[in-house]
Order: sequence, then C-alpha cells, then structure tokens
Amino acid sequence: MNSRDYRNAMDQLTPAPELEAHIKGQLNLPHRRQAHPRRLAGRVLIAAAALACTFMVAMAVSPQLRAAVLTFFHLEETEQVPGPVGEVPEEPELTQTTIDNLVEAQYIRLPNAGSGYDYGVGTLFQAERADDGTLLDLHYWAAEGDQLVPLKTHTTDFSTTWEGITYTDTVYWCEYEGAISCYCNGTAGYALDYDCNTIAIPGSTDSVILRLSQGSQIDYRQYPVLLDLETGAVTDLLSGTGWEKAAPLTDVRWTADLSAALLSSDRTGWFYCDRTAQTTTALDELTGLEVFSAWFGQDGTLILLTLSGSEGDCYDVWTWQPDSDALKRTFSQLPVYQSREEAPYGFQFFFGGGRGIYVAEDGTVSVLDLTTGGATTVEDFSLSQPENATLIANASGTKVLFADYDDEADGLGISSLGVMDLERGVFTLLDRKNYDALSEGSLSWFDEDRVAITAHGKEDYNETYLYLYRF
Amino acid sequence: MKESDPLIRRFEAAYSACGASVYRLAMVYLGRPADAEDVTQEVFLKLLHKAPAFADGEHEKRWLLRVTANLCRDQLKGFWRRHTVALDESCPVRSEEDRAVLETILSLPETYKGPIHLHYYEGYSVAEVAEILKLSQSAVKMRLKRGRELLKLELDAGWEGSV
Repeated sequence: MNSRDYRNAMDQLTPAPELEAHIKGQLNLPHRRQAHPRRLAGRVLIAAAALACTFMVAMAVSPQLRAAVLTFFHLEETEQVPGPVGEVPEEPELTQTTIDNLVEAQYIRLPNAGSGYDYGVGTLFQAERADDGTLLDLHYWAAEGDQLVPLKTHTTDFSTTWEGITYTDTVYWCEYEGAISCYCNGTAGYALDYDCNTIAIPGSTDSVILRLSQGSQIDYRQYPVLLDLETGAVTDLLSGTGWEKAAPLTDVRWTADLSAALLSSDRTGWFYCDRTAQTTTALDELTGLEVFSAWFGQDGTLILLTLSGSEGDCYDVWTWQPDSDALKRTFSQLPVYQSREEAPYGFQFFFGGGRGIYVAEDGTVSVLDLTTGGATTVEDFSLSQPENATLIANASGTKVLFADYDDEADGLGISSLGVMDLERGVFTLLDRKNYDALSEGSLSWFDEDRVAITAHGKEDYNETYLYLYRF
Repeated sequence: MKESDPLIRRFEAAYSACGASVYRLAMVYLGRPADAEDVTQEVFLKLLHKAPAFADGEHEKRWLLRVTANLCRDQLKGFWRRHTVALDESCPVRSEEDRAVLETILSLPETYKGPIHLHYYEGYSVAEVAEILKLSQSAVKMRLKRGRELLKLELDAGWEGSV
C-alpha cells in the first residue's frame, strides 16, 4: 500500500447525505434529549423496561442491607493542583503535601522521556528506548513518603513456541512489597499477527503469566503459559484440561492460586477450567444459565451475569460455587447503565473486587456487593451529572474511586476526586482547583490505597507528571 | 429554531468545512457507519453547546478532530468492542481492492490509527498531530513508524511526512 492508496480508499468514506439534516434537527431539542441517528427506534422501549427493572432492584435487596450507609465527608480545603514547572528535571522529583489533614498528595515530575513512563503495582517505571523504538532498559521507582526510591530491575529471557510462532523476548521486572511489577515489550505492534505480554500473579514473586497471542480483530486468539522469573522456563498451564472446547480463547481469568480459570471465547461463550481435576466445561452446562459474563469473587466463588428484562437490557447477578454446585441469585434485573440516555442511571459492574455501583434515578449512589447481595448507600450525596462521573474499584474491592470532570477542560479536567472506603464506611471527596493548568490524561488506582493521575504540559507534551493521592 | 439562527449557521459552516473529516476519523477508529454517525453528531453538538472560541477555521478543525478521537477511544474502551473493529459490510466502496485497503487500515491497533490518519490523510505534521492527540512528538513519531510498518505503507516520492 502506498499513501495514495490510503487516501483514495479513505475518500470513499463519506457521511450519509441525511446526517447533516438529522444533526440540525437535534439542535432544536434540549441538550439531554438528543437521540443518536440510528438508535431512536428502541429508545421508548428501553426507557419502559428500565422503569420496570428499577422496581425489581429494590425488591432484590434486603431491608437490613439497604440500611448500610457510607458517611459522606466533603473536605473544606480545596486542592491547588500544581501547574507546569517548565524545566524538565533530569531525575524524577517528588514533592508531598497533606490536604485538610486527610488526603496525602504526592506530586511527581518526570524527566523528558516521551511516552516512556507508566506505572505498575505501586511502582513507577521508565522505559529507555533506542531511536527505532527498541527497548534498552527499564527503571523502576517506588514512591515512599517524600522520596522516590529506585528499585532493582531484573530481567528474564525466554523463548517458547505456540501455534507455529516462536516468541523470544525479555521480561523486565522488580519486586516491591511482595508484589511483582513486570513489563514485556512483545512485538510492540511491529508484527500484525502475533504479540505477547506479561501479567503479574497476586501473591506470587517467582513467576508471572505470559500471554501469547496471534491474529487480530475477529481472528484474535490467546494462550496463557507460566514463566519462571528465575530460570526463564515456560510451563503450559492448560495442557490436559480439555481447554480446546473453548478455543479460540479471547480472555482468560484466574484464581489467585491458578487452580482454576475462566476461559472465554467470543465465539463459544464461557468455560470453567479446573486444572486440578483436568476438566473444562461450559458454564451454561454447569449452571443451567445463559452466562453473559463471568469472573472470580473471593475463595474461588464465581460471579456470573445473565441478561434479563424484556429487551435484554438488564442483568441478573449470580454466584456459583464450583465445589458444592450451589447457585444463588444475588440481584435481579438490574438495569444496565446507559450513559447516553436522557437520565442516566443503572448498574455498572467492575472487573474485579466483586463489587458494582448502582446509580438510582434520583442520583443516589449505592455500592453493591455482588457476592452477598448487600448494598451500601452513600449518605447525603447524589450525582447531579452521572454521565460525567467515573467510579472504579481497587483490585480487592475495598475502595471505590470517584471522579467528576469539567467538560471545558482540555484534558480530563478532574474537578473533584474522592474515595469510598467500604471498610471504614466513609466517602471522602476533595474539590480541586487549577486542574486545567496541565492536560490530565489518565486516572486509575496506583496500588490498593493510592489513586494516580497522569498529566502532560499543555505547551510541551514532554513535560510529564504523575500525581498520587491517598485518602 | 430558524435557519437564520446563529447556532444553525455556525453548525452549517462547521459541518460543511469539517463534517467529512470528522466522520472519516470516526470510521477509522470504529469501522461502522452507524457508530461513526453517532460520534459525528456528538462532536458537532459538543461544538455548539460548548461554543468554544477559535482563532480560525483550522483551529476549530483541530478541536473537532481531537474531540472525535477522544470520543472514539471512549467507545473502544467497552470490553465487547476490543476485538471487533472491522469494516461494516454495508459500507459502500468502489472495488474489492479499496475494501482490502480499508480493512487493513481498520485492523491497525487503536494507538496507531489516529496518528497515521491525521498525518497521511489530513496532512498534519508530527507537531500538529501531537497537539491534536495530546501526545509527545516522540510518541507520534514512534506510532507513525510502527503504524507505517504494520500497514506496509510506502511513501510517495516527495512526501515529506517521513519520520
């Protein structure tokens, strides 16, 4: 292909002639009532089904659990977010402050390294690359108090073959507070049809999962193997389990001890793989449900989602115990959260932690325990613009991050940041000022306790910042 | 709302100048005309409801392309879309060769699509792509290099976009 082929092909992609008139028609409606061009027909039905679902939710939660609340603390002091400094430091620099005696903030300025920074499990790392993108080295730091502590980087070389492709590469890793942070460059997108990357195993410091993949789009498939960090030896994790029933695999989720896995295929559904018993069985067959999604809760319990509601736009939530075959429905007909609807409300689930969030029509927020069916409501707090908020649970599901955004900002524009501590029963919310001085790019958990925001200078994108918050 | 309404006039001017560019960038990311139309509508509604001030038409176009890229990336975060971006069968193209080219473009990893399209189709420089996508210039160069390799994209003689 040459660039002329590219342009000729792209020239043929033109919007439908009626699109302009359709958008113009939307200008007559209030902002929140606008419909998407192809989605108008189903709108009334969805709204009606959602109303029916809400009633069922209230019925599904027991009265004593509904009484559980998170106490809401809106901090009086506002964070003054540091703006760009201008001069890029030669080494990462950290300053620390405490806001309202409750929130510890660490502001880290990073040296000029293009896009070579990221963070792992409680660690910050910098990739050192040659001009052609080849990875030369990786440097890790931990943010401890007001110090950035360099960590020792280890490397493990490996070579393994899957479906005719030999994967030869190096894993860079460090151990910090009993957890492994690891990085494998893989083919970095150079190869269209194969790649590999690494995933740390919670509680394990001697090995990581190596995820081998081939194909792309509808042809994508992956396979997991275990990599010994000391020796570079690779062990097949699924051999002899009958995993082929689930092939081609597009997602694999593990128990912490790797004794069982959930195998997913876009083409064939969800399967439970028991490595000890050397069996692989469709979850539909094991549970009698039509499983839409599945993941592991505590102690090997599976949390399952099935579609329900007259339009299939609600979820039922179930738990299933592989040992006892006990199946229990913990929530019925939770309306799926539709951020683009006129009045967004409903259920958002998390990929981990066994928690979900339910936003009621009046903006009230509840944290759902998907295993027990319990719900904890946030007291004296409601989302005024739910479509603008983010809620993310940490890996263990003990805390939920909340953020609200300023639409006018260049980057994310995080105007409020908070953490719901489910164990302490407290939701602490911090308002922020000067967040638009930098272009904020990402928001996530840094580790179990700290929230991370990454940002770049607006004028100079090589100015890179990492801000950490402990509530 | 009347045709003479300033909002309508602003929309018509912006859509006429940038509607196709916004739609094409959305197609590159999403592959489905229905999704690209949704994003195109959302981008122009954002323009009119936020009513930001621009220095000129080019400034406005870059803002529209940035919002398009952000909305598309938001859509692609949905787990059911991770591996399913392909050219919609209903999408009209002149020849099978063109369809093959478009499918190759759509099969690019998401991170390379924006830089490749803005540079090789819209003609923006590395610095301009970096500004639009909020990336460092070195990141744009890296993505262009890798994206080009993935597409097996050969440069025309005299094309000055080499990085």
